[in-house]
Amino acid sequence: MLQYSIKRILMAIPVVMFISFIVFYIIQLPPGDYVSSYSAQMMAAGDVMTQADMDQMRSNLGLDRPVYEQYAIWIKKIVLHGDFGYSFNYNKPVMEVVKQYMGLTLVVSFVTMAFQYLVAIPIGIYTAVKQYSAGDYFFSGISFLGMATPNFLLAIILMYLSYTWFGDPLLGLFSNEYVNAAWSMAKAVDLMKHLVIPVIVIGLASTADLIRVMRGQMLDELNKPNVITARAKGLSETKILFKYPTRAALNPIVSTFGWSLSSIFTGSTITAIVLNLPIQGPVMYKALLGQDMYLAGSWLLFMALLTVIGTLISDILLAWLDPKIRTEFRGN
Amino acid sequence: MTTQTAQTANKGQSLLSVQDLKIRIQMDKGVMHAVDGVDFEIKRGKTLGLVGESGCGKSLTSRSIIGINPKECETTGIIQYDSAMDSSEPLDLLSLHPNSKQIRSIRGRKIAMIFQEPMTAFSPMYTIGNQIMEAIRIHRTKNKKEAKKIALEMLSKVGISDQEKRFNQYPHEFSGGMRQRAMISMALSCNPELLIADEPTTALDVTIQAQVLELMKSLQQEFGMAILLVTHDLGIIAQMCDEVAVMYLGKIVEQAPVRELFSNPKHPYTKGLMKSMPRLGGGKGQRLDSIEGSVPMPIDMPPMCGFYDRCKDRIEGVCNARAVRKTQISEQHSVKCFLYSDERGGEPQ
Amino acid sequence: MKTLPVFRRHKTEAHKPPADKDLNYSSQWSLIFIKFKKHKLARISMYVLGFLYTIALFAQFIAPYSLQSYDSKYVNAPPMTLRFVDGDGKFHIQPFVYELKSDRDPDTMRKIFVANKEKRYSLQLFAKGEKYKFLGLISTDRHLFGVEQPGRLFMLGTDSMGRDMFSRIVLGSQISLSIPLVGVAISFVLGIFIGGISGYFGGWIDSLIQRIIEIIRSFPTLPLWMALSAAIPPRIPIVTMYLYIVIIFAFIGWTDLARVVRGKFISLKNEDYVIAAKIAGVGNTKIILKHLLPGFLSYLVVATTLAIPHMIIGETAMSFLGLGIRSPATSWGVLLQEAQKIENVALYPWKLIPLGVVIMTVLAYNFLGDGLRDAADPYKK
Repeated sequence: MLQYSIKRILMAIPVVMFISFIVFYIIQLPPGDYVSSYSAQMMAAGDVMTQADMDQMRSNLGLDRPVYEQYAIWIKKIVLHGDFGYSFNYNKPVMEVVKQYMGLTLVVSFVTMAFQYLVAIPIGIYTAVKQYSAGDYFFSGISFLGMATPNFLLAIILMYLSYTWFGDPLLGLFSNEYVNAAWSMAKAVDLMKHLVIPVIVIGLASTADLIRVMRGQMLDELNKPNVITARAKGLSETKILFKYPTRAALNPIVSTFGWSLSSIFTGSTITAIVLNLPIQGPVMYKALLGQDMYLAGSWLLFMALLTVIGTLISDILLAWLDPKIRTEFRGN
Repeated sequence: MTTQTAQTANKGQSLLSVQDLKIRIQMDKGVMHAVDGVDFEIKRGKTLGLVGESGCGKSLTSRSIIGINPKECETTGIIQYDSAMDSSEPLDLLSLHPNSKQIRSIRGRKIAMIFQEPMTAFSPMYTIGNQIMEAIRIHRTKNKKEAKKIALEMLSKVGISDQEKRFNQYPHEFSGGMRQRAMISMALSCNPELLIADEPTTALDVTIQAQVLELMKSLQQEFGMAILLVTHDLGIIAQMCDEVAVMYLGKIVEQAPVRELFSNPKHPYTKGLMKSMPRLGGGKGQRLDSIEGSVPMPIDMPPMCGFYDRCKDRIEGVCNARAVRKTQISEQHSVKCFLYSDERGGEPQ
Repeated sequence: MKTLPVFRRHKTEAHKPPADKDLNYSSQWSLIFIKFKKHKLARISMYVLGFLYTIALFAQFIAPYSLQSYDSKYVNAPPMTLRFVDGDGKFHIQPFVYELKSDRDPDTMRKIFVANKEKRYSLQLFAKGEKYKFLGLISTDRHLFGVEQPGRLFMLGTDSMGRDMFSRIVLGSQISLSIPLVGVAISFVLGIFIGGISGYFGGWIDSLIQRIIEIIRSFPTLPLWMALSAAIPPRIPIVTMYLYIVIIFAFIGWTDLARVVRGKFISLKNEDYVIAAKIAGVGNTKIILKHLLPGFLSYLVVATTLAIPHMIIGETAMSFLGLGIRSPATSWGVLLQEAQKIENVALYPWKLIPLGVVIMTVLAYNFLGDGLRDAADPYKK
């Protein structure tokens, strides 16, 4: 088992390296660079930069070198010093920007993830057991709608509803008075209140998806002979339901665990922009548009890394949960 | 063990009698009469064989005894069950709610079942030991250690060596024959007085088949239980059963003690089945007969003999005009066929 | 329960369900068709999509106004009501609209529109309007409907520049509905081709392709879209921009399909009938086209259909953020940009109408895909 995990991790390294290069390449694809967008900003403010100023700035920032050289320097710094470069937009090291937003990003992501599984699994079981019942149709309808509505627009609708009902669109993650306040009970409650809409919005599509998957798996499992065997043994229906079909149906669901975290991370981007959440999405968006290449590059790299790690966790979970694969490892 | 002596003492008495069992299933195209008025009786310590082609309703019939058919099956009739394991009165199993405590205390304990596909009948998620112990812990003892002891004992009884190791293995680590042995040990772990075996050897190799049948026979002698053996294989019937019921299209078309049936088959369908069986010394170059066509879907069938279309001896205007009733050939031999019925000359309704 | 094979009947045909015969002798594709027809939602969805695509095809004719047309007098005007009965209670056979007059709300002093009951404009079929080329060929100025000049018809209201929402939704559907089709078509071809090579030949080609797919799939989709879209130069011709966006979508989409194709190829290539064909000396191309592809083409159609909704949502999202289709071209996502501000939604709720169209389209594709998936395996009950 351990050997398998280590092997998988080693295999992931070249993938991540390769991704990081492509990421870097994509970032600098847009015409112009940070200096030109900076000078455009300055121009708008009435301050004209000369060509010499711009060249000076470029060479200061190392932007005048070829892409692969810039990449090599960037990677070298990451590997040797853990230095991800400098964010032009924020005027501080990338790592500091990341740290600033990472906490709340993680909070939002984990709460969303918990919401997804806690809601989807019971509903999936229920709709499968009560197939073709009114409840089944109700939840199926909702989950179809959930898959069909672009989540950023759902955010607008919910915001609007919250505004008409509670007089507060619940923008951001904190009310004004708590943004800079120290952590307290009241601030935590405020955060919880503000989390409702983002969590629903970010989580709905994948929750809907999970419900469909869980329902399908359950329907498959409920018709398996081992359920009849268990019934013939005299087990109660409840015990059968949880011990056999549910356990087996959970396998593929749980294996999406690792993968799901990275999809929440990336999926929340647009929602965060619309809802003005102080998490990574908007930061990343601005970095991409403003050619803040080290910040954007680092984020994309993190995302790719997260996806790779997520897949890895999923594979390991799957192997660990499936007796067939598990016993193979035990046998060796 | 007292229960066993009680079982052997009453050998030959009626244990379970099924009367006018009907199972209907609502389908897109109409109501399917999957089982249509089946009667039979299982005697203590004896083996009744239920034989027929796939789709004739024999599996549904056997499963309806312990009420484990899917919800879509609408079942009527009487299944009178007279247990000797406790002093309870005879009761109609069909009158019990399929999820009631009462029927659950019978399932696995007094009436156990083994299935055709030992691979899928076990869950791949749990060890064999876990799944065997389950029934023991519901019906016999709450104590885990004791349950394990019983389970290990059962595994050795069905001829599985190295039980400690096998106990902790998963179904996929067992071979087909081993899995079926494990299944038998699971079914017998609570000393049932009736074992329902639904095609127990169909999925196995011929040599393994013989071993498993032999095992079932010897365990029947040891435990003194009755067996309802569901199969499509007349060879197994000949080897295992005391009595045989031949099923066709949801009905029992012929019923007789095993010797009588093989020496004196009456129904054209039974005769067809016999002819389609390979025989040793049957002569070189002799072709096996087959019954033409296959079992139709029993949906919206008019009252007629279900075998009419495939029957070589059918009488037009009689066999396809009314439902056929049971005719007693002798005390123990009955058949549902107009050829032996005195109704033949009667006016069609 | 499996459908039993046909029972040879001698005479009693009368009580045999007639459908049975068809079901038992039909080819796979007609079986799929029969099964699909039974799926009510999928059938309705097919009609809905047919309707939407017809509209997109004749968009210039159906839309009363062009993309460029705007009228600063009618900024953020609400949807107009088509009337048959005028203020005096008189009934008119020809439906009409009242002229919109701008006014100020006495309480909030905000600009509002009221109907001027003095001025009626009747609705006309084949009304004269702006010049355009019908299907890009015939130059004409007739539109499906419009109102008498100088009246204005805003069936779904106007946007912040006084442009007719209805016309823009209809015209925007040309891009919104075609991008996913073209994108999926490209990924379909790429997926079959690359996945097929990977699965059929195996060996180092397979490993190489699998690594590449793994890398592409490790990219976080949305940020990748964003990054790539950000790389599209701002002022380029519409057609080029369209192509860029389609390619970006297809580039990410093909890997899923390639995996499915590869898996199918691997499992099918060891089937007896394929080996038999190989032994008989049939060439690789012929084996692939004649023996392998038909075996799972139906699955591919399903997978493709189910990929379309993702592309629609993706395009909407990108355009919504200003990273996809940009003015002067229009797609539903562009139209929704105005709904980004909550005040807009609160004051001018008709700006959410494009959202309804998006949801309807995505649902229709989802149901269609579902129906196809059920039908794709006609032998399964």
